[in-house]
Amino acid sequence: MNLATHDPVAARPTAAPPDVPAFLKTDATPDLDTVIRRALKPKVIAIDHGEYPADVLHEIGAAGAYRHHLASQNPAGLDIAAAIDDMDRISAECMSTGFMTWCQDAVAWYVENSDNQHLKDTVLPKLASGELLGGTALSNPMKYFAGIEDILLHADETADGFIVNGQLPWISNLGESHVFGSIFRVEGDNPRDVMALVHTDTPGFEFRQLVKFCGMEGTGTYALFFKDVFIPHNQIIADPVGPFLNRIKAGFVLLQAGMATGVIEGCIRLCEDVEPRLGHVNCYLDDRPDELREALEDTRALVRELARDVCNPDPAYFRQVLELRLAGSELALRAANSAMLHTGANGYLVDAPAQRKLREAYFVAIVTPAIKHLRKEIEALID
Amino acid sequence: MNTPEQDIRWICTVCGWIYDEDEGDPDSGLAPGTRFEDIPEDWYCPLCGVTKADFMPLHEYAAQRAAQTDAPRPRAARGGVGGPDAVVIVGAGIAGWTVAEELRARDPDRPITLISNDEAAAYTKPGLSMAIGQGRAPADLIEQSGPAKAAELGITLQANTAVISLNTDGKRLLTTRGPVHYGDLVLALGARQRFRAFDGDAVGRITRLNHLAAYRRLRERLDGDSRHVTLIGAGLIGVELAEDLTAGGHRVTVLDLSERMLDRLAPAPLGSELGEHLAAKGVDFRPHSSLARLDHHADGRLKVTLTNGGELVTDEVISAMGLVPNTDLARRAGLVTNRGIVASLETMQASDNHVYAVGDCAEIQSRSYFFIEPIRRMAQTAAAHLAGELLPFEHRPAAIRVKTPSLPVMLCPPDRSQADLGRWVSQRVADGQRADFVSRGTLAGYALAGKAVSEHESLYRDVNRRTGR
Repeated sequence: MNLATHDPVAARPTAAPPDVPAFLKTDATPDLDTVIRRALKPKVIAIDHGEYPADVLHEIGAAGAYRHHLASQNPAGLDIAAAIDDMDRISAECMSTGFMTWCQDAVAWYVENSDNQHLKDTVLPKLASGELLGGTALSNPMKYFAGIEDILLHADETADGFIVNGQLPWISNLGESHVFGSIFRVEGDNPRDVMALVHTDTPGFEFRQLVKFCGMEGTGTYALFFKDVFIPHNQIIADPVGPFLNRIKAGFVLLQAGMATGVIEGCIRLCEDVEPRLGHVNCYLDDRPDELREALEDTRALVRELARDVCNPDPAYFRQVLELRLAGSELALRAANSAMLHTGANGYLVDAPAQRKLREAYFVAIVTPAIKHLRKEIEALID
Repeated sequence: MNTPEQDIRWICTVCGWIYDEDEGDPDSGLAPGTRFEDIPEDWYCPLCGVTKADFMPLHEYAAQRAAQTDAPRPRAARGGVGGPDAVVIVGAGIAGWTVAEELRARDPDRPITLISNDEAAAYTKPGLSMAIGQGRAPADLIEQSGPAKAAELGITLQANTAVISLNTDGKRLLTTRGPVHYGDLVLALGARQRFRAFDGDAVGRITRLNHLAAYRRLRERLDGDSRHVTLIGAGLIGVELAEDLTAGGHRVTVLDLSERMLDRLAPAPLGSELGEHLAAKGVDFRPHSSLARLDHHADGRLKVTLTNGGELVTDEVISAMGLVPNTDLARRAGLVTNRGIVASLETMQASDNHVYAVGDCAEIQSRSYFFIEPIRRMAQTAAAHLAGELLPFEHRPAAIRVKTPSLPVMLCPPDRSQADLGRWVSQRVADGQRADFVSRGTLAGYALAGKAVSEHESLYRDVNRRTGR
């Protein structure tokens, strides 16, 4: 926490621009909106270009954003909708940070739902508070379970754990002393898929930045290399992973809705901002901000409905979650397109907010589960 | 935007660039948090170069512009999906397509959009439980493709699109392809197999057959091989599939919690006789049992554990435990739902005047109908009202032909108002059996098996006349 203390006696008038606006100075732990305005908003372009905002992520945790969906860590009990709402507000300013919020939420969700009391006692409180940051390496396993890719991590079982080898591309919200959830295929007499929590400082584990993305560079996204990485039994989240995945998958996907609704909100604000000046000609465009806002509010209402039922094992419920996720992606693309057209040439400048939203919207549509992946899964669930 | 942030945002009235105090203008040396009033006078707009004098608070600018703006331009009609004049039908089963046909017949001009979460091919669902015995591939069941039928009727088809939310105040839907507005809405959402949360690591392998797509996937796994199939439930769909799968050379085990087949619809002797005929075809019926857990077994097969402790190894498990109307969309929208979406007998309107419910998803005076004949009449009632006519729906006794070729069965179960007030009276007739459901001395239903099914038409007229409401 890096807030200046407000002291009325010592307060002095200043002519130079203050580092922290006076109206934001407070003794209390800042609420999320304050963190977003004071810490996040000034950094969004730097994040877009590659700065990993560890301080902001810690502050977001201190403001409580990572614990709403963790019944064991949240004073109000399980509240998926609140977790999504926080992600929505963060993503409206910066979806990179909204995405990292989801990564953090996801890895904490795995531990919360596992039977591993050791991890629950030692790691979960730190993930919930944001003291420990982490991510989720489930993109490849999800595509493996959907029959889209082969699994990339393989393990041999030993007396006290597993030896893991392989590589994974593009895992986010990582850095030194981070953790992430990972699934590997165990070979041998009892072949199965097992999930564990991996620390980035484990011997034999390496992460490297191999590529440059067109935006969202500050998301701590790396290629992972496992060379004889030993995972002890007390790091296991689920063995076998199948029934566990069925338990967590709806929450895992539903949480992502906050990224979509936040991007849509950000796009609508951009359209609304230019309305006074350009409304007389923007009215010739499709997907006007008021229309998009209606659809956004319908989406948010459905998020709240589905969030109340996140443990429902009926495949028909999971299909609705996937359909919501798909609708969020499609609407984000439309909203971003609309933001570009509404803001015109000003939105075409490098680093213009509409430019950023456009790249962010494509990320919503491409990140696992991508639109094509969702359509495949939804079709398979039509019974 | 109507938030306190209005006070911290200033717009350049020349180029439209917005100065946000939270963000500052770092490229010009203004740190985040710099109030507009604290900006030096020699600062200039980073986009167009004018000075502070050409900026004003965004909300003041907005108010000023709003006062000068002409009346808003009417919305352009976008594409042909929905619209404030359109009838939007959700669902491409027999109910949805029949509403489209009946409405088009009555009103050649009304814009109609049909939205379906599958390819919207026109076919009749009962065909799914006879196809193997008739030697028909799934593709042969399709009477007409969705696009062809839509073109013929002059309607807009939005296929492979799920409707995920309904806002009756705004008369709009949210779909997986964006928002859709409607003038009137017809919910033809169908029903699905009841879900039960079984134990085991292979519960995801349980098939629920309610769409052609699911049936096609099943046939891809079965055709060209002899497999073992386990059916959960010996109701109508269970017995029909058991016979049809057996005809296709597959081995079938049927589980049911009851003593005999068709226990909730037919009198005991008929259920027993059907059981004997199916047993002779090789169907393995396990009464007083259901699935307890389903686990993966070697070679991609499945291990079934029964509620009575028994175990068996199988290739496919099909759920046939009974149908539940799809009401989630309506319930979330605040429409009155019970078991189904509550609809008016006169018009099929739901509790909102611009929403109709038709088919398996609808409930009329506490009755649901999962059969083609009443669904067609519901569609006619709704279409008539949409076209400004009145054609009330009539409750009629259900006539069910059970598609079990080894023993022809016709059922006409008693109406729910009489089911508890009478009893089955069975008799053996030549080459078959007949049972009458007698309520207060009146024939209220019947069940026929074997050659006795020929009595169906005269008995049906009799029941219909006596119980007509």
